[in-house]
Amino acid sequence: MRKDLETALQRVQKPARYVGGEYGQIKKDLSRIEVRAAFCFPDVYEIGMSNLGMKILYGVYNTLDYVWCERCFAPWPDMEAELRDRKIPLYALESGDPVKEFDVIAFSLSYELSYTNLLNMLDLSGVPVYARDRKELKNLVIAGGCCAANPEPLADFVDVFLLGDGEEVSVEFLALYREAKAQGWSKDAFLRKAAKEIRGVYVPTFYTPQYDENGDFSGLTVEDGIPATVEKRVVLDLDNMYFPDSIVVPSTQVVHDRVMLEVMRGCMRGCRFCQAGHAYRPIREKSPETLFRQAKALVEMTGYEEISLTSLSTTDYRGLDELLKLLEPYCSARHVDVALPSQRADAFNEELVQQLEKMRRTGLTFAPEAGTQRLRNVINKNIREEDIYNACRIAFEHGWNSVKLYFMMGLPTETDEDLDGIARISRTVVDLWRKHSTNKKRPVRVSTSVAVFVPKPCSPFQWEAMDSAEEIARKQEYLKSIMKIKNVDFSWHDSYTSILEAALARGDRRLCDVVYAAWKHGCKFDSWDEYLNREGWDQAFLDCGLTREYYAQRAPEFSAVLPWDHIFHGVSREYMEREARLAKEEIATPDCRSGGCNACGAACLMEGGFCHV
Amino acid sequence: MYKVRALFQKGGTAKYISHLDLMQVFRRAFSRMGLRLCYSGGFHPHMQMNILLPLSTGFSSQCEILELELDATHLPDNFLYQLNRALPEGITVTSLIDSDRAPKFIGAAEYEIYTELPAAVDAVTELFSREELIVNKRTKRGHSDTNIIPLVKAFRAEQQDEGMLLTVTVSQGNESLNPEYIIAAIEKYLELSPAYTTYHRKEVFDTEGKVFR
Repeated sequence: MRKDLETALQRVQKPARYVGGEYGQIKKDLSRIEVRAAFCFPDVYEIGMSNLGMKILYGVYNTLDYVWCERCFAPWPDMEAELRDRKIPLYALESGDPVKEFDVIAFSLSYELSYTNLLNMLDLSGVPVYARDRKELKNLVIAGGCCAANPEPLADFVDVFLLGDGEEVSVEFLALYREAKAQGWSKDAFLRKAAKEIRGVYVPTFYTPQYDENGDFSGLTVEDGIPATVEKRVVLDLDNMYFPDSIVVPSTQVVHDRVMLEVMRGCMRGCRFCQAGHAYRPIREKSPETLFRQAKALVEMTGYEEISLTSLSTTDYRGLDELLKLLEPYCSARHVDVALPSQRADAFNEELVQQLEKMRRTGLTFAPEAGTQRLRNVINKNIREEDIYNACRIAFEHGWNSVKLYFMMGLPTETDEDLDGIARISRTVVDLWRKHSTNKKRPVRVSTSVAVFVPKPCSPFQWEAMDSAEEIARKQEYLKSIMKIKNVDFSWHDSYTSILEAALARGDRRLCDVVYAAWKHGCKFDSWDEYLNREGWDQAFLDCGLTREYYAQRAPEFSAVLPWDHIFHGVSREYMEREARLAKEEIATPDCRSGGCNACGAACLMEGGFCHV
Repeated sequence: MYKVRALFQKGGTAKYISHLDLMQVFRRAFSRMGLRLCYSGGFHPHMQMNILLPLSTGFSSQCEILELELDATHLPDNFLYQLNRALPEGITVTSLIDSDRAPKFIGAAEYEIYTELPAAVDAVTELFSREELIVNKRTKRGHSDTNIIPLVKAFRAEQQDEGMLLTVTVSQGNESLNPEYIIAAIEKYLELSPAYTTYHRKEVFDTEGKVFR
């Protein structure tokens, strides 16, 4: 190890973040490698190493014998200062080689507030942040992940977005890159061929945004031969899809130190605020047998003692019962716990609770999202107040004494009466504990968390306006006054961050300059309260003559072209508009299983046209 | 229940694994081998594992001692081979120790400190022949100015590469001295600013000065 790096490591907190060497990391013989890839996560090690998408794609890339994919994370500001002071370029963990030497620099985009970190990581690597300043095929910057639902705010920095499921498109893309590198193609020639020939590839530079006389986005002009609409990729058969049987096991504590087992992709619920619930359609399930096999392989490889069954709504997974029955004897013999990250209140019944009881008592989390039935109809959260009470009663009868409740505020059509409902539900849950608890040794804890609604692309609420900062502040003050309830912990989200998130989520390509300016003003780690730099962001919007409010608080007409309309996720425009109208009429749409197919359109991406519902 | 005491090395990138994290690293390694540790009873069961004389994060070592109780009646075949395969790079278990001597008998440890502080060997040797070197040292009751000389049992300095190799034996256990204070004393008395320095633990001794196992 370089002496200057070693000295830097002696001076920073948690140096284990920056050295690699973990069990399960992949090292390869460089002499046999044709394409070097740095898989970058634009947040700190502990967050990135908890990200399932990164684990999967690290594995996928490394299944290719001509590719060596390594990992890289955003250095915490103490380490960044040491690196910059000593002029040590950002390096990949497996080899310690500078990211600048890599062919492909890939970013996983999970949340909008990590955008400035992407720029900062490129800069720390000594790689120009604007795509146009990178002339060679080398250092090609690619990105994917759920924020690619609207790639425009990063379109000037990222050469290529890979849309949708990455398992197959990554392999096709890397194969083409290998050919391009071997044959010495220009960057432009490679990008053109990739955009034309590989489905799911979006190359922003071939699309030029237009703005009308009011300064509103009015569409894109597309270069000849380049697809006008880019359709995201879906893997059809999850049972035969790549899933890692070996992962990197961190040597230091990370956020999720457990086996993450993805039971299905997509969600049948159709909550109108939810981006993931629409962007990840159609619904595809893995079989319990596949999952059991994958769980065993990973438990034995990692040595973890907990398995988390992940998906957007795991209690909707049809094979859950069967899977739990398969896992139970194996896991109890090996002292491995199984956890369901969140539970739907209406799926929480005696049978499920008896399964959960056999496992370690993890916390229970229910998400009513809104305080009244009227508002839950608007947002299409098909849960009744009785379902929540019923679920809590069962949990308390079985000895649980803490429950987390997730709500949102600032939802379309919301009134103070809806906020009163949040307090009423919290209070009623405490009362239910008093009546039904079988475990009164310790007092009940109801944690009510109220997030701020952020309109997101690729959801029926993509046309909705967000509340103003003043209105959010007023509602939060009101909530604070009514949420002074014994045994209830009330927490809320910062409105500045939420409005910034909305602007970045719904932004057009002009936001690239704002992101750049913000980064120049020192913004980074924006999702970390201690680093959120409001002055930097305010100045950045001012510099570019734009406002957060323009993007967050506007309610575009259905007739308007949206900056992400050229990205097709399978759910049709007609369905989105219909859902947005039904919201105004306070009419819920039943889920795809109990109410039958709602013709969202995503099944068109499936062979034979059927989802796994 | 099967009690195991083993000697292991910590080096390479693994020297940045903290003491607490290292316990998890070992637990997972045993779990990969299909072995489970014993746990204490009570409301919050603790795994029965201990690494004697915690090593500072960033130090390497060739003489770390791990002791634990396995929920097993005997050790599997090729135990050390299997264990080393289940550990991340830089951690290597070298031998089993047939002893259950209590850690309270640990009295000192020898370290090799390589430093590129621009100091002459003679000047440094002279410093440590003094009666008193006062360093602001962390103690159980906060920081206080402490004479470290009584805690330095042996000291040798020699030229090596572009720097200097210090071989020091310092008191450990009840009244213990982190070898970083050796460098702190040199920096303070010779008025030097920090330079590249590495620390390596070579041996652990008992209160009598014999090798502790």
